[in-house]
Amino acid sequence: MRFAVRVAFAVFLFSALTLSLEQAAYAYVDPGSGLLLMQTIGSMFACAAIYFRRNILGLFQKSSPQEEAEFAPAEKARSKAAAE
Amino acid sequence: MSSAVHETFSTFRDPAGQLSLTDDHAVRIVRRDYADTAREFIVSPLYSRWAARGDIVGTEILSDDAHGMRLRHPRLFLASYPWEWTSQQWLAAAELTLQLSDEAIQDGWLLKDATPLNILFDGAKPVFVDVLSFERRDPANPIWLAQGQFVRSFLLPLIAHQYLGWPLGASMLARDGYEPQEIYRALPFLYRFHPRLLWPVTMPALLEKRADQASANQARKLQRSPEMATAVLRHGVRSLRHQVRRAAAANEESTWAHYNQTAAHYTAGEVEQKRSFIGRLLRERRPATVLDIGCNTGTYSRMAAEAGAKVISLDSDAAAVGRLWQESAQRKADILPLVGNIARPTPSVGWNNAESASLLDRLENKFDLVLMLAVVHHLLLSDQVPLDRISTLARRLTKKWLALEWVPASDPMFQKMLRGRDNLYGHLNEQHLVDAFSREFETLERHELTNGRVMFLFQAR
Repeated sequence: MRFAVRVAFAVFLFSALTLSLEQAAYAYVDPGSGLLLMQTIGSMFACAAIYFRRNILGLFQKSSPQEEAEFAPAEKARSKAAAE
Repeated sequence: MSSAVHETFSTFRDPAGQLSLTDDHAVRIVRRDYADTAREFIVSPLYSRWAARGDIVGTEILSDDAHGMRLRHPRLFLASYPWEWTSQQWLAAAELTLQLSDEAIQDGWLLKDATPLNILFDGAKPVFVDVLSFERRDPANPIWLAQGQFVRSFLLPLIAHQYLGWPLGASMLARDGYEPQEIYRALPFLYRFHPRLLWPVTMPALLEKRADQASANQARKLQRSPEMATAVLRHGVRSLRHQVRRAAAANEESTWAHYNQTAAHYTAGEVEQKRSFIGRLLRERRPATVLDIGCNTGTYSRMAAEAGAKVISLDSDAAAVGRLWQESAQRKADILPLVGNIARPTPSVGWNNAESASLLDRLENKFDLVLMLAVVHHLLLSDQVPLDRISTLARRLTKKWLALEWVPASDPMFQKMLRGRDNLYGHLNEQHLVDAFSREFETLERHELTNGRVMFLFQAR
């Protein structure tokens, strides 16, 4: 539940930022607009997936709270890719 | 060593620096504001690792002062452009770009431009040539700004080739690849929901309208924990790798299906006669550089490479070129196969018509030996180029020798291409060829095969 609230909040925050701030793009390479938005949304989903996976895995692993706070996403991402 | 600078082929878009070519080197001038980053990158373990693997071009610092830096790279034998590559070469270039990008992310760097123009081929091996393409990344930012460019310039041309049949060569007309909307508009309605097209084409095309206010700055401001940012960036690279592999793999299947059409018109004995002629001349003349025009699957390119030559192979049949590239890459043979038609060579394109060099400008006077085996009748009959002009072109390309296979008018292939134009070409014989070529070449050897075809070795006058 807490996770869903966080995701919803992140989506809300991002949308609010997107709509409220308008600044000139600054990049040597054109980052695209649709492609960039797509990537931004994709990255939020990836964040959520990695976070979610960490918590689900956490249910099955005995670990101290300290270890849980320390977060090794590269391994998690790899295990996710393997699972896919 | 000449230090003549070919002004026309300097790069200018990257604000970090400019590149100019001399005969032997590529000289890069790095602006003062970017010199620190460039220096840090060139001395980094990351760069050393890539240079040792041959994945990135070698760099020598010529000067480093208050005005900026001057770097010098060795010039690769021949610059080629993505519009001359097969889909397999596109994939190899994409895989190298993603591999370097992934390693850079782990080491705290980021690739700031991801275009196939950053890749050249050294033999069959792709090499990343732009050392100014890497910058330190914000450890907490999970956005790769050049990802859009990767999609536009690598993924979408492959997708357009696969699903719409747009030739990869057509990417020459697009400066920075295709926009998702261009592909979206061209796709048949149901294709837009194809799982492989939904994410790289349809969604960005639809989001485009909504994204007008979402600037790169806002994406840049996204912050996550450094571990999360790294994981998300690497996840993005992995996902692109899957997509680009799928887009190129299907191409490979379709081209292989047509491969049987390129059968030879020879008996085994005649092939052997031709091979032994070419083999002997490679042994005796020992050319260091060879251009194989109309290489097909590269039987003679391979022989030349095995004899120690650096080989460029040209054919308009992408399936044959793809097969030769794949084999050369596996065997690490010094062969660069390119898709091209010598009768309609790649033009010079871009800003001032001078951003990328024409094929002939790049090939000119570069080769000890040029092979034109069973090519002249194609140029003569299909492209309707007179013999003396073919001779002039051959002379422009070779420094020393030209090996040529003459297909006589009685040959079934000649007859097939003649298509009733006997009055124009039916009378042409070997003597016409020798006469036309004699202004620029002298005949060193003549050897007739049992099928009536004649092998010539000419020497440039």
